[in-house]
Amino acid sequence: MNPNDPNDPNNPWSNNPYSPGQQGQNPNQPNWNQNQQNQQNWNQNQQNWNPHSGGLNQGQYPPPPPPPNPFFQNPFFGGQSTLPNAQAILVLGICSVVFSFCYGFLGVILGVIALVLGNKANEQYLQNPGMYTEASYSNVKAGRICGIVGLSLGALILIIVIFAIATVSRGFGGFY
Amino acid sequence: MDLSWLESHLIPCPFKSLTGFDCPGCGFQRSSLFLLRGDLIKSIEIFPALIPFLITIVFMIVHLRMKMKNGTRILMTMYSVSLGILLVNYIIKEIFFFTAR
Repeated sequence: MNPNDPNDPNNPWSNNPYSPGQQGQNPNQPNWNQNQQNQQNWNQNQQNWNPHSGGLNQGQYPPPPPPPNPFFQNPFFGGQSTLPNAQAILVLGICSVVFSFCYGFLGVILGVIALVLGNKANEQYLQNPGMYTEASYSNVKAGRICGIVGLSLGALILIIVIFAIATVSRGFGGFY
Repeated sequence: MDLSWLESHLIPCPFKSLTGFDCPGCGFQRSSLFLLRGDLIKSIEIFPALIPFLITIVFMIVHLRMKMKNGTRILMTMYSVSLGILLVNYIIKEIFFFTAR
């Protein structure tokens, strides 16, 4: 129903002489039939009226954006996976502190592994935050923090031990 | 339980043998030996951070198995508390060591 189309047979404002509302009628006389048709047209125009596009719905506005994919967006939908090595990062990070006191070697090694894996998992999470569970990300964060602490403690002790070995030459025995 | 073999095969601390004073982890093995013998007070006296660290590690295993809500926060709190106990104990030990001379 386009009011601008003069050839539309249902358009009461058109000049089409074969419009059903004006067929066989005197155009100067008031016509109930035409009035009814007019009312119908008005209702249909009201249906097509779109206040957001500034006028009649002509189909010229851009299509609405597609809805977000619930598989990636909705945390309650499921389909989320844990970050890779999240548990391993936590275990390594905590063990790096515990083992950082003997020579510092073990702590440094475990801390470096925890930090490297943790940074990789952190990047992976930040690229696609909806895809992984919040719990695994908090595990990764905790493991990274513990790894940093273990690495720094182990490195400190390692540096002191290396300095002591370089300056003092004495056997290890006697102290436990 | 016979712990005499373990007692005679403790790993020596290079830090202490080289520098002359304790490292932050010194006493860990002696303390765990006392804990294995059941002497809790002696264990805490030698290395007070051992039991908190053991509890933290046990809690970490439980947290990873059970997937607890807020488990990571509790774990980090326990971890920082045990680390704080360790460092405070180490500082006090060092102060006593250097002022006793």
